[in-house]
Amino acid sequence: MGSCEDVGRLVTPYLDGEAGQADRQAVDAHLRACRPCARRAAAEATARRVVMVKAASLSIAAPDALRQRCAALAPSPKRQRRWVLAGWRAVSLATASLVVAGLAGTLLYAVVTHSPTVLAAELALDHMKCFALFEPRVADADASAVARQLEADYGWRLDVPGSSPADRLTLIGARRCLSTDGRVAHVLYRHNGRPVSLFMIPGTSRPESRIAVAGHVARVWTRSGTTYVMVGSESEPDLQPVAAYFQSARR
Amino acid sequence: MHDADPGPEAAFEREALACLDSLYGAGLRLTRNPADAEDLVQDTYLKAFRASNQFEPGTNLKAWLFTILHNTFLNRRRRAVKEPVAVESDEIERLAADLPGDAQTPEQILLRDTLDADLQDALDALPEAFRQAVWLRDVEEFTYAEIATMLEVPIGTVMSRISRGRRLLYERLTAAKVH
Repeated sequence: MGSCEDVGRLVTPYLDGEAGQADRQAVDAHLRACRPCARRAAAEATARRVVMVKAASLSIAAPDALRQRCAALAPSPKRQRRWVLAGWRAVSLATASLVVAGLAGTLLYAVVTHSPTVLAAELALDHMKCFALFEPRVADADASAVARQLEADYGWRLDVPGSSPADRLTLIGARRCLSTDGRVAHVLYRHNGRPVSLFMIPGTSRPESRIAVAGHVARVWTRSGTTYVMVGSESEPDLQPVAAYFQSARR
Repeated sequence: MHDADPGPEAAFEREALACLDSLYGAGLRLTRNPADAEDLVQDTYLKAFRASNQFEPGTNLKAWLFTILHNTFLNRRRRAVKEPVAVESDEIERLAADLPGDAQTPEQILLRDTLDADLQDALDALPEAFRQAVWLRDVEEFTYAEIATMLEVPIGTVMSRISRGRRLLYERLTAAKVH
């Protein structure tokens, strides 16, 4: 008949129909004779039944926005284009396919190569991709919380400039850029309601430059061994105070 | 079998996306937070689509996606906590082994009286390793072998986690009815 301990180990596969015939017979015989084990098995069987019966009502359908974002990640071009357009109307069809190409990991090449223009172009695509695909939920994020998140994601300690009401600049969050193997921190802002990105790439340096690329303005500078790239779709004069604020906020 | 029109990649994507609700449900149970669950599921799909060539056709796609979900969850938490994850503590083992002495509430009463919210709370209160094992088995109906592969633990551990998880759950549900 087997000891309580031996049979105890067989009860779960017995209930789940994963026990062999000999084990089933052993469990049956033991449970008929041993009340404590029978109660124990009944408790487990009850919990199992309750969860199984109520599984449907426990399962919550994924939100539509998540469904769209996940579908947009699929390499099938048709599905992606449709979603990017639905998500951000300002993205043209041609740009949308560039955005999709930006997912493929070319950014990593831009990070390790030395041309600031290549880097700016790739980051402009990443800027569009992140705002289109990963719309941050936070209206006004706390800079120290964002810095903590970046530290948790990268293990880097970075100063994150916070919102600046005087410059009409709002910090809305940060993302780990998956396409760069975790080499670039991407901090997202809105300036006058328009998307602005500040990318930080520790351990690299680039000459200071201003680059117009893919309908965006990019400003590149290096401080204390970290390259900063600001990307926005506004005009250069409109973005100038933002760049000045970012640079003054840095050590 | 030859599927001329949509191509194997489109079929892969379609089948993968059909698992979204399941992955989101499991993600919710793991993170207990809708925003984190969404991020987790999204990263899971990003990785799955990139690694689609590593999926062996003919094997269980849903189980493969759950494996990615589980690993992504663990990686994120390791980054956040910066220390290895303690899956089961001795205290939890003792707690789980200590069953209610005279639990006699019939199944029908629990089925009738347990509100979805009660069950959800009781599930969420389970230690993570048990909660996940119970969910994968009783909601998603994976086999022990599939769960063992997903969680990278022996089948015996899968069974003991399911067993302890169910018994703890029973204890919580009946305690809620008594008090």
